[in-house]
Amino acid sequence: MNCKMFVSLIDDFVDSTLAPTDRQRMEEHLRTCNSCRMELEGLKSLLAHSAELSENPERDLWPQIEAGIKASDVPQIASTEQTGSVFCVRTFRLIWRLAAVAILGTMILLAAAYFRNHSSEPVSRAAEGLTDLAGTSRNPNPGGSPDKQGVRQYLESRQSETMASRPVVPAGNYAEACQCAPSEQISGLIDKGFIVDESLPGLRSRAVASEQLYTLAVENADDFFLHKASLEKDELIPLPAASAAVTALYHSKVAQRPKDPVWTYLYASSLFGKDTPEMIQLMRQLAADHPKFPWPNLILARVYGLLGYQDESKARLYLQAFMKLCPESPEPLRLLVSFGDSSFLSDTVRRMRSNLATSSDLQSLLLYRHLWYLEDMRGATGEQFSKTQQRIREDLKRLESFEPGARGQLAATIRSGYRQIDDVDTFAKLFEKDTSWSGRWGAARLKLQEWNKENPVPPPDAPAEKQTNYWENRLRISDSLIGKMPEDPYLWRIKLESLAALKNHPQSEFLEAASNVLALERNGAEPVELGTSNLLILASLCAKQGVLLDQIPALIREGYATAERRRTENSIDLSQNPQWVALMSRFNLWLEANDAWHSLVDAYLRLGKPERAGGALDSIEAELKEFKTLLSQAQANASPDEGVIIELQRKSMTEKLAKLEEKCAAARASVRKTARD
Amino acid sequence: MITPLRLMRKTDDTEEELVLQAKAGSHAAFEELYRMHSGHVYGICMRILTDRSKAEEVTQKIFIHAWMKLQSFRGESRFSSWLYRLSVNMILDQLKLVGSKNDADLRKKRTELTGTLSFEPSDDIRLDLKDAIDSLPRQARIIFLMHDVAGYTHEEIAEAMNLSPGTCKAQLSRARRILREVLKP
Repeated sequence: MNCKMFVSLIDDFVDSTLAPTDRQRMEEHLRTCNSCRMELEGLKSLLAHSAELSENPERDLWPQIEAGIKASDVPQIASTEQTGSVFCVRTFRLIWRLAAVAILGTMILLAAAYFRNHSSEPVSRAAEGLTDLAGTSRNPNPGGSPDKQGVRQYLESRQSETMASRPVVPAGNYAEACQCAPSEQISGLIDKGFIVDESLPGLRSRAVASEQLYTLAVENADDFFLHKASLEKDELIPLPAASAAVTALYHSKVAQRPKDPVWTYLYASSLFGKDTPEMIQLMRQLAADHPKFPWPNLILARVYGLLGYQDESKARLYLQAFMKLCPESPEPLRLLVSFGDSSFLSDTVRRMRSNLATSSDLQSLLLYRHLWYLEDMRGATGEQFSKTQQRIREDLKRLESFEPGARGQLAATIRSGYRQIDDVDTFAKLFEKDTSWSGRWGAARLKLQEWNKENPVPPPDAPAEKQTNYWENRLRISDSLIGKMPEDPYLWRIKLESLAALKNHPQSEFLEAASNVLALERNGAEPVELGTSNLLILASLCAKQGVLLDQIPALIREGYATAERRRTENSIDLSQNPQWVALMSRFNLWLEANDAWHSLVDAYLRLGKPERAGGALDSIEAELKEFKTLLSQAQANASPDEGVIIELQRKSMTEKLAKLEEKCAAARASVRKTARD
Repeated sequence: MITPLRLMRKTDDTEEELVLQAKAGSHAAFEELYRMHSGHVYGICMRILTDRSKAEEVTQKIFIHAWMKLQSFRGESRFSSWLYRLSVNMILDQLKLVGSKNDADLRKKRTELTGTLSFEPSDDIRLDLKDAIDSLPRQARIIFLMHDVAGYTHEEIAEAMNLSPGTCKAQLSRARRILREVLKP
């Protein structure tokens, strides 16, 4: 063999496709030919390097691939949107979402009020129980914001570990957590955990229920469903203030067992509203790593239905993934309101109705109110409307067969059913029978609502007699309601407003009501309106009445500071633009404070004390200036796609500030004039 | 035949186990497989498509397609071989879609590279090799990558590219010769 022949066969040689005799001849040639040996080495080197052609892309492509494979996992539903009802459903959705945000905000405030004053100790007790069981330190980081080391560890270990170190069956009670519903025994315990002292105010009773569920969870080998129930309550949204210590505990569990899906799920759940992006990341990881674990899918479907994270296609994918794993579960009812695709919605609602028909555990029966709302919200008319009403009546009969009493959660659900079908009489009668805090509170509000409807506020130019009659009647209804519900500062506030308007009652009566509002507020009464403060309104009323003037600046500052603290301590990150929401809520509070300051200026002017009035005006001007700066900063940082609602709110805020500036200038002129006179 | 793919792989056992888990629906296991092979798949995409964003896009499509087709992988060959074959098929499909514009770009790039290579030889043989492969005539380049990188036989390449096996073999020989010349110290 010569070199030319060798080179012509060299490819077959390295590819091992030569006949044995040819190969032998080539090998013989190699022994004697340096040049061909180098040629062969060169080719082998080329092939070896070809094998190392690996080149990493500049960015991680996995997130897109993961999204793609997830999409391929869940079959797509053909979209056959019925355009006829789209507008109606969407309008309801928008209203509902706005309402939901407001309700959520109120809930958080209510929770804050309670937890600030009552909950740290019992929650800590429950938390200690959890820690003791695990044999870990007694104080992982209670009340504080836990560092995320454990979670990072979880994610990193998940990325770097090989299959050899990956447990085939995850540790803990994972098998139970993969079930679609708790066992009958655990279900009974969950119901038991929700039964609390009914004399407690609404939010406090919810918190006590949460504590009881924790205790039950610990007593029952850290049962997953008990832990889950204690975190979720009604809306799959844990109350942030409630879970600070608990978050720290779940976090310590994850740090101990970074791969455990159950503790990771509970830890992530407790971050809902506090660190929602982190929660989403953890839940997505869980959903990807543990395809048989249904619950991360449900919570992801929930969060993708909320304003700040709204993405209906993602919500639907995760919801479908959940329904694939748990076809008989009625749980999706909690979040269906976020969906706008009417054909998907009506199919799923129908399916949920049949799921509910076979359920008889309390927690499932409570879901009926979601079903009724969803069926009713499509705004059906005529025959369809009567059918819906009839169906709800049948459901109510079924529920009443489970609940002969008038108190408790199921009773509240039954009441909401009567409300849904506009049977106001039955609704009111049921409220009257309910002697729990919630029942009495609801009955009082209902009475007040009816009274307001029948007694419209007389116009400012109405005759004095008409005005007096109105306020006398209002004073009577407030007294009557206070008799039934003395612990509600709102009812005392109505009494105060009436007394302030009447002027012919002894001042002692006003002072007694004022001190009751103050005592109830300082004792941590449940605030019932978002962005309002009973203390600020009290300050304003006292100034108008001309009493306790020296104490009013301190009262304004206390009211403002308390409400501000409550807001910042419990701010949630579920809105599209949390900074703007925070500014709006601060502004609304400040409007009340501003009103109180102006009442004080007027009072001092009436009393001929212009220096004091000037002092109060200084406070107003300083705050006005601060808000103008904040507003212009917000305007400068506004994103072009922030939406029409924020745009309108900003416009309204600008107009209000301009009016307040005018009012302030007029008051300043009056102060100067009084001083001159 | 030299099997360069073997050099890229972790232990067979690990890969087999990951494939089993992924077939059972584990995204995590499939992510591990992605981490093991993405560099190589992306490398092939880059060499054939010579465009970073296109290569990223096709790499994503390959892995999504691999996930969807995973049930059809019966374990008779190594997963890596199966994946690389699937990759080359998808890249070829992509080339059909891209058509002549890409060819013109490649020609331009090839001219630039040839100039660079002759005047500024790099010390890094792997970088040179990538550039050298990019500078190959299109058909020779694809055949080289399919045969020596993705492990296709001449018959398979011939069928995929509508050529005779002899032409295929000749083109591979030509590609190897050019590359050896370019890479000679």
